[in-house]
Amino acid sequence: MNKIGTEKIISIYWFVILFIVAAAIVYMTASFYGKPYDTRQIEVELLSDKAADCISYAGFLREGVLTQGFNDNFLETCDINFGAEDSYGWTDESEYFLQINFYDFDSYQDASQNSLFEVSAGNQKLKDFCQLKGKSFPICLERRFYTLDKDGEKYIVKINSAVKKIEKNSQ
Amino acid sequence: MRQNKNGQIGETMTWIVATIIIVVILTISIFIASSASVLKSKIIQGSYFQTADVLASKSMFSYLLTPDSSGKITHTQLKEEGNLNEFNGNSGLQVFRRLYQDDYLNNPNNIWLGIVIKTEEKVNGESCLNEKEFCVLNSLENSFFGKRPIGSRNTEIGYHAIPYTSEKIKLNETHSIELSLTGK
Repeated sequence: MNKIGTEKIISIYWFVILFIVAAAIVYMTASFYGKPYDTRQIEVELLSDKAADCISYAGFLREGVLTQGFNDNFLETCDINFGAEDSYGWTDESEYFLQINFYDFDSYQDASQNSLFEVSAGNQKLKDFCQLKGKSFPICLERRFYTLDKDGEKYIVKINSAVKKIEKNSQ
Repeated sequence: MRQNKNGQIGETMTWIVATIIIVVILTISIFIASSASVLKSKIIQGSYFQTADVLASKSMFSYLLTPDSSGKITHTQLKEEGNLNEFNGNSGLQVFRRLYQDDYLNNPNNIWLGIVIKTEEKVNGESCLNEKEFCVLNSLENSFFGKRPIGSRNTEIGYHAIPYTSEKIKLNETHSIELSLTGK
């Protein structure tokens, strides 16, 4: 009689343990695979590469780059789309920022000096967060390259790009 | 009777300890699964084994098109002289070390520009005609960038043991100018 009671208790115990283990496995799987992949680092690099491709080709600046018209129609000319899906209020404010500065090669000291020409597009506010590091800040990238114009003038082009999209990439 | 009671207590203790061990192992597993160190791998980065740097590549093209005071472009100078000269060596330093040192671990030795020469033999001296990726590339030391950091004799396959970006532009059938950027 007693033996049957003990067996019942043990089988209930085993079911409880089985349930705990299964629940823990489900929780671990969900917590790992539930986290989104953070693709912003690649996105910001692609943005920078795309802008560079638009500015310079085969070693020379493209025609009309150093004009106000290029700045005004920058996104259309470079075929860059800053649109994002309609969630988390992403359509209210752009999730991207791109700024391109042109410096004279010979007098270039560092990026803090005044540039000869500037092109920018997107959400200017993102630039202010680029000094900060953390999960809830945009990913930023600053890169430079050397180029010439058709007259042989030498330039350094600095590209600052930033991607916010925190809600879907960093939780 | 007393012995039976002792046995029951011993058995109960075994189950309690077993339960505690199971709960502890699960808690540790849950903690590891949700800790930042594991989830860090969910950040997708393209820079580790990248073999191209678009912006450095653009700089390289423009560098080779840069004329000296006589109007001769760098590519022609290198083709004729076979190694860096005063003009293109210094402008190479100005372009590549100034612009890319910060991006490559802030180490000037990680930026190298120089001439590499294609050979038709493997490291063991055998012919590499059927396996081009094993052909040895010899490099020439220059007084601006020094020796190639990845080794003066190396193969295309040998490059990829470390994070490494290389841009080579042909000067003639055997010689090329190479920009190597190591350790991003």
